[in-house]
Amino acid sequence: MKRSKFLQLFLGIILFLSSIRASAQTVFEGQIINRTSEAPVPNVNIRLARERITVTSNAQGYFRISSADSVVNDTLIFSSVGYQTFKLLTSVYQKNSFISLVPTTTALEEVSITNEKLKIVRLNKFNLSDIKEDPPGVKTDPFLPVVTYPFSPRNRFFAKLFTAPQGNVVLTRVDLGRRELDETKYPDKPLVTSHIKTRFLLHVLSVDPKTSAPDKLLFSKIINLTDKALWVELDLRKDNIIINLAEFYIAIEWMHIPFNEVIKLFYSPKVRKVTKKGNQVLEDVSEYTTLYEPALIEYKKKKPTVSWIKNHENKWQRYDSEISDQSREIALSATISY
Amino acid sequence: MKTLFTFLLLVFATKIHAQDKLNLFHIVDSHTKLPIPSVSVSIIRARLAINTEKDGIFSIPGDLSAMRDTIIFAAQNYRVFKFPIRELEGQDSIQLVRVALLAPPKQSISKLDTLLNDFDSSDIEHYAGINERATSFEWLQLAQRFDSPKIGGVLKNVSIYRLVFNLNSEGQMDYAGMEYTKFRVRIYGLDSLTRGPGRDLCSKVIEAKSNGRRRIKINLTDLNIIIPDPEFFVAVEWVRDFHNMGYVRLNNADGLTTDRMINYRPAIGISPVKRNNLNIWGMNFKRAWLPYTYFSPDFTDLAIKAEVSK
Repeated sequence: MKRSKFLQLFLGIILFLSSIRASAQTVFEGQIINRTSEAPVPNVNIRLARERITVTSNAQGYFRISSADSVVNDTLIFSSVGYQTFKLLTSVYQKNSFISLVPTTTALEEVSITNEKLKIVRLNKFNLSDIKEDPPGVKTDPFLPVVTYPFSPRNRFFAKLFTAPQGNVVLTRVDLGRRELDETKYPDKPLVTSHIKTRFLLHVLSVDPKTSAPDKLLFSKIINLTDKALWVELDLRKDNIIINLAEFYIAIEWMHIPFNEVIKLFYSPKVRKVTKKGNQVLEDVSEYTTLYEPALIEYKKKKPTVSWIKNHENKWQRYDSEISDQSREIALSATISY
Repeated sequence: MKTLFTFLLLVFATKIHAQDKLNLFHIVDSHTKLPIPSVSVSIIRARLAINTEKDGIFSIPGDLSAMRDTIIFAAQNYRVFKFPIRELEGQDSIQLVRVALLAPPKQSISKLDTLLNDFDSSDIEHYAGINERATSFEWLQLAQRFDSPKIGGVLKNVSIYRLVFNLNSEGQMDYAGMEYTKFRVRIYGLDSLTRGPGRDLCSKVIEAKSNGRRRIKINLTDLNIIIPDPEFFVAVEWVRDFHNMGYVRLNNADGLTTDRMINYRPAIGISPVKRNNLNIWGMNFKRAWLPYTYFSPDFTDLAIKAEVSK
């Protein structure tokens, strides 16, 4: 009798432990880009070799694969036609990082079939190295290549000036560098809730001839992002945006809606009890704040740029980076054709 | 313990309103004269709502006869007590009248169970119970509506998902101790007029506790809760007491400053699955049920699952 009870207990423990194992999950996610052109690579097969799970990267080159195990000792295999297969041990995987694939020599060079007279220019171009965050624990001297900046809720609008070589251009694409608010990979950073879907407004504005501030609205579009890709490509070819003057603004408007809410955890002391001598005994309790996605990336400025934000009185004011020691700009570029 | 509580109250009172009178009340059962634990007390115009501790003691500093506000006392299985606050002058106890609840009919025996409002819990990203833009969360209960698979079915269990910050593999920042919470679960039938939560379907107080866990599964098999209507509701009732108290930082309208406000745990998850209709109802400080529209139209349901025998 005693023995069977012991056996029951033992089996119970085994079951309990196996259920813990089963419920834990590890997620691998990131964005795949072409090492040469730095363009996102869609339709890449990503395979967890041992577990035999396969997913495909989306239009932004973004992937998300989850392993049923909490501690994964496996290999991630990235394969796609036209690219060298890339293997990554899960032990060296870094959370939401860029994976760059090398195009094979047999692959055709990228050819864009367009009208020969059409010129395509990417204004305020930024590269992958500009928006790639340092791995945890690594500090590049003398400056970090990227300093990221989450916008505080007071900044609903951010606008950046673009100068095209001439007027009457078509805006075909906008590129945007995002950052993750989730900073659990860094020690001593506050914790936030995970967030995949984001919605914001993209505006094109004219330039006020007197103040050179953003002026009239030329175009607006709601953008829905459905992944955590850090390099966001917005294809605007179908929107047929023709800009008459050479100078224009592109603005991001944050939507302060529950959909974009991210909860950030701090802690704060609360009086637990008061001793007979009147001394307060404190304990730390949660203190939550709400942030709004998306968070943009700032990088070291190459040329002087002009940016504005709308202040709490709904007036445009010049935007300067919060990091005052050197000039930085928000990773936002515009591709035009003319 | 009681002396400590009185002492605390005294310290508290002398510190803040040295000149004010402290009015102490015992909230008791009208029949047994025993204290009722965790009674919900709301003062409408002052936009205040708290729960008493287990001893049912409640205090208001100041001159009651001069106060122009309405006070509501409510506890499960008791009739809601609502009247002008000045009528409390000269009293030292509040007696709540117990409501008789009919015994449920015999349970139908069936082995088929249906899981309602299913979703992938790893997709939950939003939480109710923290703040609503620049205002604090001013709701006593939030309820999830369910379509009953069969009238007369038995509610087996409910799973409620709440906000907990997961620690990373290095165990960085041990918040688990701070996230402990206790709340109550209410089961309601359908109010055919409002289409919102109606009468209580369970007379027993269901207390849920969580020690840093995200999913709280409550087994209800022993309570024999029978669903009499085509729809029913599972609600989270916040226990707004010292134990659950934390803070929330709100952005003021000027966009520059923030205010630290009191917040009560838990924050309840919002289901990542969007349905055709809004299925969340909220009970405000006046104890009126209203459709809870804060997460509309992007989200329609709370992260609460229910299992009913068919």
